Amino acid sequence: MTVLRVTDLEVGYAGGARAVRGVSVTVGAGEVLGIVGESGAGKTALALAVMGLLPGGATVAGSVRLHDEELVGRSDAELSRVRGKDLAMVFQEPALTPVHTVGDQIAETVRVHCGVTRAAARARAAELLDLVGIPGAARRARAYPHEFSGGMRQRVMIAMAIANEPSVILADEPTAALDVTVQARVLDVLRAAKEAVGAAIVLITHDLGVIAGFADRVMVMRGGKVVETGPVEQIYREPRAAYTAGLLRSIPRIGGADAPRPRPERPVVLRVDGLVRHHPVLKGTLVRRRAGTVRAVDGIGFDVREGETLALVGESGCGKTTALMEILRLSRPQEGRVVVLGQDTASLNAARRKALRRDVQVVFQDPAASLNPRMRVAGIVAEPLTTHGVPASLIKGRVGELLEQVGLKTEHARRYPHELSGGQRQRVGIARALALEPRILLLDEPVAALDGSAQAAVIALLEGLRERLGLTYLFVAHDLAVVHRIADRVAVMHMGRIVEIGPVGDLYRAPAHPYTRALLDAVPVPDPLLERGRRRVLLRGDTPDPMTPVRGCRFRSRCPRYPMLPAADGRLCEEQDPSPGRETDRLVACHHPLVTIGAE
Amino acid sequence: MRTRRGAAGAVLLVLVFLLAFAGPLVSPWGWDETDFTAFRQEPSARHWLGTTQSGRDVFALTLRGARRSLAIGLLAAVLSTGVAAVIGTAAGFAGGALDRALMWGADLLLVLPPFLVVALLAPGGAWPMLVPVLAAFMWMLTAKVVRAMTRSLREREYVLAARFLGVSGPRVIVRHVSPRLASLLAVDASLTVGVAIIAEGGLSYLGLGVRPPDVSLGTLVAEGHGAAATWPAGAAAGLLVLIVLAVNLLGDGLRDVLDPLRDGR
Amino acid sequence: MAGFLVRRLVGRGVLVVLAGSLAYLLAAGVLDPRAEFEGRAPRPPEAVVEARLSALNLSDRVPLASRYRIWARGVLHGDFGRTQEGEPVNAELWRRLGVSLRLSVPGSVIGSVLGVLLGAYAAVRRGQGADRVITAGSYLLLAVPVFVLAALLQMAAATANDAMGVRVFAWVGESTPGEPGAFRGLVDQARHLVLPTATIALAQFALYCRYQRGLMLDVLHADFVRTARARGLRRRRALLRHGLRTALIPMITYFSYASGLLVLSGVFTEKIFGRHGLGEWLVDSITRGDVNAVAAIECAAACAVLPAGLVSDVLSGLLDPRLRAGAAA
Repeated sequence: MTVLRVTDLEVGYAGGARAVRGVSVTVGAGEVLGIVGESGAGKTALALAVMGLLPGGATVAGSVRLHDEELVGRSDAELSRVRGKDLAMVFQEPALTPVHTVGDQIAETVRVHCGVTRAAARARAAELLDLVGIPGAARRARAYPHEFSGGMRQRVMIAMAIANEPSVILADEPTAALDVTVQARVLDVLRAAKEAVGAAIVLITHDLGVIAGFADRVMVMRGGKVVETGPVEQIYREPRAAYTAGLLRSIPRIGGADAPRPRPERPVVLRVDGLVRHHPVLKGTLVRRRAGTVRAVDGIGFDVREGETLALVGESGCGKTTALMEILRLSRPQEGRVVVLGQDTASLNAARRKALRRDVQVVFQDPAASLNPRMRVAGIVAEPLTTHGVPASLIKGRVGELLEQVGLKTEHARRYPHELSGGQRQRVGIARALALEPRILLLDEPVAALDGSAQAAVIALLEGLRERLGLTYLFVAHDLAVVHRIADRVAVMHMGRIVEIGPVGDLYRAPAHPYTRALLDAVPVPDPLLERGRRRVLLRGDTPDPMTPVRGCRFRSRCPRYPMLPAADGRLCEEQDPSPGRETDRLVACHHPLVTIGAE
Repeated sequence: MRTRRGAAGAVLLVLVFLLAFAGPLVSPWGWDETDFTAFRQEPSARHWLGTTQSGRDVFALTLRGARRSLAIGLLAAVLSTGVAAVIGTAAGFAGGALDRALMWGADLLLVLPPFLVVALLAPGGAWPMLVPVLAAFMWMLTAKVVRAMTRSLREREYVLAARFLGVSGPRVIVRHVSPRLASLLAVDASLTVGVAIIAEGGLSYLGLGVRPPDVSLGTLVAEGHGAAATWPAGAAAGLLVLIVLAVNLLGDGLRDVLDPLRDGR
Repeated sequence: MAGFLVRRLVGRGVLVVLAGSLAYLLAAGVLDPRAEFEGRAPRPPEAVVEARLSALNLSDRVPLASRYRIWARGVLHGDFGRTQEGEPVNAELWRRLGVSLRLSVPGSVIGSVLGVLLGAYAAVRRGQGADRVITAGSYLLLAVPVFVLAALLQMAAATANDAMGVRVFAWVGESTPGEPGAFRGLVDQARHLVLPTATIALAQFALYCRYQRGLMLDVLHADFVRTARARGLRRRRALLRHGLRTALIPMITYFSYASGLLVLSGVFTEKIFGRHGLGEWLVDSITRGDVNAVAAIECAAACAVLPAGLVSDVLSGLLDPRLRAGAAA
């Protein structure tokens, strides 16, 4: 039975952009429809048009029928009776009103649609919070949104969406802002919620991995139009449209058995020992007081050899970016040692530091934020050259050369950053980093902000540059599939520590730390059959508050293995902080690793 | 629509300037001349806006007052914005003790009612004395905004990128920080002109700013207030409102043109 | 929380003490009370003037430092000295403070409440007729200085009185002298309050209206308002309960900043409407060169900023749970 039928829907924004161009689709009762597409495909506009929540000035034509009732053209008052009642939505940003408690906001959703008493609505709110897996639901209902983590807020959004047992839930990129470990949990909650109320779900995402394990049918969108629609197996196995096939090819995948290669005997270009970075935390906007300390980086050590790529991976907040920034400062760290190309950063004077900057360059995550919006591409790429005294006569030629090297054309030199696409901007960032012919490149999530196809292209570019220029990469990322493709070695970080480090093949094939295992398990596989058949270990709870010091193993509260251990073994985890042990190529900081290290 | 507002402000301001500076060229009377044959007269062909009780030409007087008010307002606004820019960027970029000292000084000036100190320091002196005194009490809030903005700009990725390239601190400020502050400062300066003109008018109205025999729009309104003839005061008050309105419109228009994404990057 | 308040109180207290001292030193250094005495007719003999000035701690022949010491000792005992006429400053200060507050508090409250409501309303109706009228009105009002506004209102009231043939509006002083009866007296006082209150309210209204409109525009498209609508709230209710409630938080800072200036905000209004409040006293004292009175008014004004800041902290904490958690942690 069809619950939602969209026919020839057209959405135009003020300014003339046509976001959705003639989309027709149906959703059956209890069905999960996945909608995929890259940014600008019109996915969100479609969802907002169905909800009747498009911003002012947007025009809608066509028909949206819910249970055979037309929604397009209805008044706000009439639509309000449907929204949240029969048709609910979960947004990408779990945006709750900051000044009302979570429980009140859920209760409001209930009360606005059915005339239950305040107390009954409260009770229902607690019940819903419990259903979406928030521990201590009755107590937590009195908390404010800012006291919840992103994953928990998204669960609250799901609780609100199912509060009135709707027949359709639209979920627009519900996990895009979350870590993979949290993403897996939120998807599970969404699945459970769907079972509980029997709603149909429209899951909108750019991530083909997420859809593979979740959707029954898939609709692929591009430029506001439907590319193709079909059962999930068919779309993944035999896509009819070339565009879909291209999308599927561009996904980085974990897999392919790569033989363990011995680590090449080359000189170490970057060595970090016991690096520490603690931030004071100031609270209050009017008066700022020190409320505690975040141990962002709490004693990490690794080395990178010439021509090698080491990836630092972990959830957001684990300290991987902070570690990168500490290295980039090229000055004395709070504790520990950073040695770059044989020079201890603590001993550098200003002139030597500036000279060393030529050899150590950085590419940032967000290409829009890392390029000065008021400078032209030529000026941006030339800045390192002028700074380091390259004669003006040589600069123009060098800029052209650099742009060509990163796959841009000379005419791009005259443009401003906002006139370029995301992938092109990131290429400008890379060109700037390469300008001084550095030997080490530090990359902070260089592809995280890019769409699938742009992501694949930039990774290919980085691989090519590494071969041609003999670069060494320190690569910070949260996407384990990307890391698998580009890295030689991987260091897994958790709460400011490295919990496991080793060659990428070994580590992915046989993770020794339960956290590594959980991270790998949480990565969705873009294959419907494999994804559904997987057995996975999920983490309990969220990342602990980084301000509270933990005795013993920091991972204990989330560890899937710890509750299963005999009491005597468990005591070790409670009392001793595991350290990565002595230096070899493969290290793990766990008292009870999943595989034995060093036996081979 | 909002840029149209800015354009209207600009046109209005140009007209006011033309009137104030070109008007005396066509006016048959000088501002300091007295017509002993005409006391307190209605507007006529001889005196376009009538005369005061003492027989002075209202048109010429009003324009003279407008020139004073405009000069004081513009100079005070430029000075105060300049002070705010220097103190704000210094505090924001340096941080630490300098930051605390400067912001504490700003707090102290915020606690002192500006009216009181301006009234105490300004009297007696020639009108140029009013400029620094007025400016001294208008920079604090802007300086705080500039400081906050500098601090956030300092952490922007493109500023970090420049620093990691080895670009020196002052050069980073000039190339990457100050262009972003320029729009804020331009807007602030134009809005401050309005505040300064109103403040000058108020002080002069109370007899604490510009003193006779010199005139400003404030003194003209004060002289005319309570008098039977509404012409002299009305002309000055109208011109005052027009100037402030023009400057405010222009400032808001500037904000929309220069800073279309007020929160974005 | 208590410790945090105390620390803040101490910090601001130091600021107020400094501000007060600075004001005294400025006033004593710049003003010239001797000229005022010497200007009297008949001109008193030199020795008499000097004796009078010394008795009032106003003599410029005594070093500034020792005059300041005497003044500060008095202030520490709660005594601001005497005016030039020899009256105690304290009594006059309290009386005039009452006059000022009776005028500025109702005006400010009416103005700010109206400003917030209409500003929010204009934002919701952005681009439509109501928004244009409100925005144009607030623009125009902002460009009109208070002293012009007061004169305009007086003119309008005079015209209204003439047209109706009855004196509905009255504006000189606090009451008509010799109005009999307690009730008639009260009505008469209220009648005298209308115009000055309207002046203050209109000026405040314009300011708050523009602030609130800007703040409200920021939350109009906030994600949490969209979330609220997706849950089935109508636009108006989502904007009121979720949007306006959040957009009010930054206004607290404006409110407190303005209420700190409340004591002296009525300078022009008092002067023009002949109400003998602090503002009028300040202008007259500066003109007369009355150092002690000026210093006392300044101290009162600076002190008013202190509780305003505290109230702002507490109110922000009440309205914004994010700050509350920060203070409690």
